[in-house]
Amino acid sequence: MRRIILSSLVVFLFACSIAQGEGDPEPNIIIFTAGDPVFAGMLADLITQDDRIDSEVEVVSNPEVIIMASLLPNTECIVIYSDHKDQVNGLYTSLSLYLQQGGGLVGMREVCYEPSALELAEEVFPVFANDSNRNPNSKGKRARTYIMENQHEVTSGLPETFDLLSMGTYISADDDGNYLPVPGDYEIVYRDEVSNSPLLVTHESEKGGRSVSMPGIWCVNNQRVDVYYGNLVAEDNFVRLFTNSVLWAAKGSTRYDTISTNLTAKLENSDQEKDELRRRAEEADKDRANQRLILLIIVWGTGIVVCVLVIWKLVLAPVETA
Amino acid sequence: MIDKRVLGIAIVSILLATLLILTIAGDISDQPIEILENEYPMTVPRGEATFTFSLIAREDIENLQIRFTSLSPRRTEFDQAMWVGAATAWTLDTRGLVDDKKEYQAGDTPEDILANVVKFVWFQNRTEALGIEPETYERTMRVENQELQTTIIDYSPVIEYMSGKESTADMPLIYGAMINETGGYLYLEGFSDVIINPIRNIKMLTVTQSDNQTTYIPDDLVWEGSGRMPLSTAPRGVFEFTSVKKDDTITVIFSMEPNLIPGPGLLQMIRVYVDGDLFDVPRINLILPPET
Repeated sequence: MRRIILSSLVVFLFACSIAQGEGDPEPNIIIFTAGDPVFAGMLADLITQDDRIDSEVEVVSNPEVIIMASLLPNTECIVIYSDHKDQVNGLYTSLSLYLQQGGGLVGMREVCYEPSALELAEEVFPVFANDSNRNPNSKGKRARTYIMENQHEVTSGLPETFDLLSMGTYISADDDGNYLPVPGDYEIVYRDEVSNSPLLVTHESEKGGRSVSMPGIWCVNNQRVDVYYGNLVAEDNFVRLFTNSVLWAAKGSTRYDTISTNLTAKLENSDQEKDELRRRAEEADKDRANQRLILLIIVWGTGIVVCVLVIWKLVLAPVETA
Repeated sequence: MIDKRVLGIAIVSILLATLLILTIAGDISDQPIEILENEYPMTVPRGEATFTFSLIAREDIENLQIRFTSLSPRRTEFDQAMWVGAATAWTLDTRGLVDDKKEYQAGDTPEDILANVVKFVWFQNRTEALGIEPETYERTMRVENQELQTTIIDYSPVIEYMSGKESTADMPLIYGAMINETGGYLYLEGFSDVIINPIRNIKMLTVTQSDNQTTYIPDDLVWEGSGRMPLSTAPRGVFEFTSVKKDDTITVIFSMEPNLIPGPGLLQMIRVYVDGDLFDVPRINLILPPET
């Protein structure tokens, strides 16, 4: 009986290890807040404290590292908060490719602003913003009032309307500064009460990549002002909105599963494919060598016969006749 | 008793036949391919430049791959101008260096230079942990009467294998460093491609395997029935040929607009893989900046 139980346990553990993809790398969420790693650290803490997200979280401070991170198989989601165009220069190629491959992205503030982020603000974070709106909300506060447009996974646990402190938001605007919608493949989840422009936009690529754009997350590194980022991360609604967004982008995107599942086996398979190619090449070499050997033996034998005939008929026969 | 004449005939016949066989056997090359041509401009050209790489198969080959990579120097504010006449350079922000005061001396290696580049170290550590191994090449080169220890580390084949060929286009996955006897150094970065920014730079790319020829030209110059392919559909630096027959000639030729190679020059590395094995050593073409 004990043996049966032990055997069952072994089989169960083995099955569990297969189901979890033993040897698969841990999924990684990368956070980049340009020149301010403190804010990045706060955002990282929000993710690690969320039981729903079991990924590793890493803060990086160099934009070029973001490019490298987008190439790693275990990068599940990239979170970017930028406040200057220099921080997002050169990221378009790698991030758009990463999204096309099925990667997850969360972008805040400057990455949604076309004059700074160029195509990034159209194809990866499709807010198409060309202007900013720094008006206070209807209560006269430096905050944005989020009005729910559509029910979505990122709205889970959040009220239909709530305020988040903010210096302003980036918007797609006409010449008068009014919100001008740009058609595109995206979904507006929250709008700004004052400008009616999107405050949270989700987008999915053909291969299952997911991006969340938040143009109204705009805070500063100064503890003495109300819009200090430390105050923002202390707001429950922001924590919920941010972690929901990361969860939706990271766990719903396809790239990690596609590339990282059975990574060790895939890498071994690559070597095996090369070995197989070499083996076939060696076999072909052997076949060629054997064929050549046989041909040479035939030529050699024929050569001997020809030589015998030539010498016998043309050299010896005339001598004997004489 | 064997007749002496018969014995003589036998010996002479065997000798003649053996000589014939040795002549035939000795005529066959033991290399699977032979490089016929590797032409490139020695300095950044002022006019249109043409690059040609050509080889011939000396036996049937199931899979043959020609892989081009292009690296450009990225100078830091601390390095010395090793390539004479380098007028402009891409600069590596000092934030990109582990130690921005680091100086190199005789005895330091290219690996020491790479170990001071933040993103390379970051990527190397992460890939090592995942069991991803790059291809590494080491060589000593002579440039402008200097001996340069050179190391090139290429992650593109393994990343391509994991994520697909399109995933490495325009991605900086190849790193290099050169250091001379006095500690003067260059840090290089590059892509898997025939040239940097090919879509913008190349006027024509022709790939030929014996009688089969494919020509790629800029997309806006392609018209229906022209028989040309849009450049955007051309292989990005990796040309693969299957079922190559003995005596097939394979050629890759491309011409580019003048003055579009970056100012500091270019290091082009060409590798040929025969049935998965690297043939010989990589060809390294150095295109130095023009003299000012």
